[in-house]
Amino acid sequence: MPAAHINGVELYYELTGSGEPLVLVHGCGVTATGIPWYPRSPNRFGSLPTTGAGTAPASDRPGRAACSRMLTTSPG
Amino acid sequence: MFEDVDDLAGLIDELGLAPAHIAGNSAGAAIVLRAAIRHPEAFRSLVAHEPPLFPLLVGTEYEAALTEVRRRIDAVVALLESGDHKGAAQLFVEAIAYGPGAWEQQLTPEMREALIANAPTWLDEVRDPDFLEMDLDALAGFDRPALLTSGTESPPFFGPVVDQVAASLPRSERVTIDGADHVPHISVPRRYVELVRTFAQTERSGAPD
Repeated sequence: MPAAHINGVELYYELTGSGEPLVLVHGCGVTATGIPWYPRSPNRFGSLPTTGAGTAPASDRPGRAACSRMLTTSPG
Repeated sequence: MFEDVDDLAGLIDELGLAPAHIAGNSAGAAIVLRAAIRHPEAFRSLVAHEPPLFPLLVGTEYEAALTEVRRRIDAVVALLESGDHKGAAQLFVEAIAYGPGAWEQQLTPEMREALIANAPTWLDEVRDPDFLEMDLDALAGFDRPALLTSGTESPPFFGPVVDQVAASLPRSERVTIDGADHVPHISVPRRYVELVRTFAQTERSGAPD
């Protein structure tokens, strides 16, 4: 899974589709793994392609808030 | 919390996605709403489902609900501080986020595993003084289209929060999703995706380039 170095941490992300971006930001404590929305949504969105943005393992940013995990990603 | 907001904006900028439709769920919705204040240029439109901005209930008729949610949060924190990460994750899921029985009935094994692994990080969040706060006056300056949603099956303290957020946004649409809970992309995935898709497509023509 690709990662971007943002604000001193590695944020993992995955892009899919094309066209207007839709960025999905999930809730606390979870990753997109196991959540049915991301892997299925590109087809469901039809002509509106989706874009998932990455997530950082907690170990990547000790001492920083857990919502570093917020940014939605694909199961990888 | 603001680190998360800046991370989101930074990643969108890095990937060249702006302006994007940006959709958040739960704490992700709180991050998206803060990003709307701090980085409005990143948005084509905004979608938020049940941000846990419970302090907005202070002084309202729902203050009793706020007291209850604080009690539940304190109980989760106590389990985390005792080292019981599984118990904390399960209580968080069943008492705050999803509802009774959800741990076994609604979550996949992968989700349970992730929630347990990430449970300690929740302490950071509840200790963050900015975590649940929202400046509605600042949010009122966000001039892009916004879709604010809650579910009929969610705990009772989310709907009144969403009402206030929607009322503060000048171009908001407020939808209560029948049969949805705190995680509509799991409880009613087809209808939720269709709702977001329709909103985003409808808002295309009026969105900034």
